[in-house]
Amino acid sequence: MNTTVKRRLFVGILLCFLISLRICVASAAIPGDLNNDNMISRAELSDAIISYMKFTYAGESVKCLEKDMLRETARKHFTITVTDLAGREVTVPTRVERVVLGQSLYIQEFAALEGENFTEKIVGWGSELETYDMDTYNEYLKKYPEIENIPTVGSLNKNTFDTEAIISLNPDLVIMPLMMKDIAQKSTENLENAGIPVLFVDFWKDPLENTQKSILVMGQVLGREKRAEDISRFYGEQMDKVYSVLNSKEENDTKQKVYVEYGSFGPSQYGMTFSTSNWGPMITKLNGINIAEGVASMAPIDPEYLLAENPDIIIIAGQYWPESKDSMILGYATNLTESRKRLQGFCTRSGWNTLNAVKNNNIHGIHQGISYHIYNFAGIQALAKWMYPEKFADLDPEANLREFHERYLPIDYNGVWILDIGEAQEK
Amino acid sequence: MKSANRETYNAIIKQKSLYLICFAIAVFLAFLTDIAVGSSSLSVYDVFSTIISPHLNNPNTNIIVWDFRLPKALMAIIVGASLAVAGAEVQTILDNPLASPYTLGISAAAGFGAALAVVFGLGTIPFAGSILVSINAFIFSFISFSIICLIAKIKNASKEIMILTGVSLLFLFQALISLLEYLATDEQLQKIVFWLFGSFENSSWSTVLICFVIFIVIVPLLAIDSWKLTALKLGDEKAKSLGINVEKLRLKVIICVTILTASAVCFVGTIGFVGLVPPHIARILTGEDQRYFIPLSALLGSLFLSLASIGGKIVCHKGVFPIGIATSMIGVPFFLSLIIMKRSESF
Repeated sequence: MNTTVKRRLFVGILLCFLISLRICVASAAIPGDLNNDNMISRAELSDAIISYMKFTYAGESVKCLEKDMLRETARKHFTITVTDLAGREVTVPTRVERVVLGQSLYIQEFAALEGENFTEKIVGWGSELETYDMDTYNEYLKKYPEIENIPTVGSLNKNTFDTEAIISLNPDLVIMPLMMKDIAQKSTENLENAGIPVLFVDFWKDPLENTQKSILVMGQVLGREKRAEDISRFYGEQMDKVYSVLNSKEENDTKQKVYVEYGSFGPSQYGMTFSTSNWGPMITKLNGINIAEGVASMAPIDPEYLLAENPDIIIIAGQYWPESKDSMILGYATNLTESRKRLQGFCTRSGWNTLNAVKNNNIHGIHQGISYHIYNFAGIQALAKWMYPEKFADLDPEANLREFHERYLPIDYNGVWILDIGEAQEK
Repeated sequence: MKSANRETYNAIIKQKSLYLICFAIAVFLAFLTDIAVGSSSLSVYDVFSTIISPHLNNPNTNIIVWDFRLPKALMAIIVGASLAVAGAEVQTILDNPLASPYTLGISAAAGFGAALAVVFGLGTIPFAGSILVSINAFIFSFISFSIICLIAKIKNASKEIMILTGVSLLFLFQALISLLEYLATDEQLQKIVFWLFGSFENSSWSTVLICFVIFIVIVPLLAIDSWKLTALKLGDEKAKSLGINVEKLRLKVIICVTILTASAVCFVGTIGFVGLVPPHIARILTGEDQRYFIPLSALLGSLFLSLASIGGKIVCHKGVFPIGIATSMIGVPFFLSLIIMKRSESF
């Protein structure tokens, strides 16, 4: 063997080596890993399996094998089972593509999990968002005009929930509020008999306990575990900002008396107060006294009782009620001047000028939605700050709410959500 | 013989007057209790010293007594009297124990008017602001009444036609209220439900004044005809033979009753029971003599609403207990026991 041959052989071997190396590098991407994150998510796996099935079982005649049928097969064979917030075991397809939101107020949670293109997965929803939370609806409508065309399936709140309409939408999953479990019992049975899984989540009944669990289980079934864990972690950190300070305190503070009212009627008529729902448990959790405790839920307080109790802090829960011109307007569709003017209106109620809260400008507004959404951490932060101004001097609930919007929600934070009446005087 | 009759008559009149005096005292006591009872722990002395000399006490007590308790307590008295008188007269002219402003659909129409104002914010009078709900309630009770009158006029004001028209209107307006409840948003629904429950929470001195003036104007109008109304109970034919224009009388009374009911209901919401039961109790006690029947009904109505108001405050001392619920819960057992104990032919 002469040198030339040896050299050629060497070059050849080197080439082979380089080529095989190149091949190795090229194939480092995992087959089916569509977003190249070197991980096969469940969705990617079922995509790969579906395309494999298409090739293997349908051969060249892919056209005659409907995608819907494949999806149906995949649904039957590839499922995961989770435990929902009602403690039920729910088996859902690994690849959930068509979701009905039993309550459309869940748009915030759903969008937080699904990101920019969240509307693609919603095939139907309840009518609550448009009727109860109009400014949020309008805000989303600006960016996602297609939400106007999402079919509504009635509303559990009004007992107009249309199970038949849901079945005709052929969803992979229906997400329902735990609060409505009893009302929705028959609907749930019917849906499950039709092979449509129903997942109960809860941001209302026990928000302090169930918020993280709910977002995690939603993440699991939607194939967004990582995102859900991220949100849950953020939420936990925000809650810790309150709990860590509260737990570390040595002696008991004098308990603050708090009164919260749903400001939908404006100053002329006392709106309902919160004894055991929404803000009530948060106040108790923060070691305050909710003076409305013991009042029937959904009932207004006796004005005389309010004056006698003389609360230290008054909080008017606001929202967007366009038909009531002096209601406590808060949310996306307002500005500071208008909201503050409305809040000041409440102080003109008969006898309120004698209340400690009004004398000390300790009267605030907060968006009602904060109490029943994934961002309820901002609510407990705001309450904590108002109840213990010194301890939570550095805490900025509004900034944290804004950060949540920026990090997780597809729409921008604007308007007024948390309001202080005293700021005007201080400036 | 003549003097014996006279004596019997005097004895009966004396007894009836005694009833009036007793119940007047009872109403006064209930009124005082109503003012004295409340969710704040004011002493009875505080309350009454504030009433006598408003400027001596602290401003909080002043507000509680003068702005909260007094208007509500007075409203209970006036509304109770108005509704009971309205019920008494409706029962008289229609000669039907089931009749009341409620069964004539007047209350339901008021409820519909109120709900309409809540849901659409549009009333028959534009730009009326916060009193829109009350005004609308008032107007719709008049519309309901006009329909009854119109149909009664066409059909010669017979009682059966009036009752049937009233009852069918009642169902119509109830259906319309349900429709509005269906269309309403959550907070509107709340407002409607609160309104239909009935409440004195929105009472103020001006509502007290309006109701009082209407009561003072209307009741004498009814009282002038008390003999005619008494005669009407003998039956249309006999009343006619006594020279009474039955149709005209009936329409006049219906107008008065509508104004009374509408003015009361538009501020406090529908309180079904008060128009029905106090007149029956009054009838058991005094019979058909309108000179005693009207005032006693009024006193009993006031007494019931005051007691209901007190009861509501005791049961639920932090929140506001709906007055309509309290009224029925206190009044109905009492009424049933009366029916059982007294085997009267009054019905």
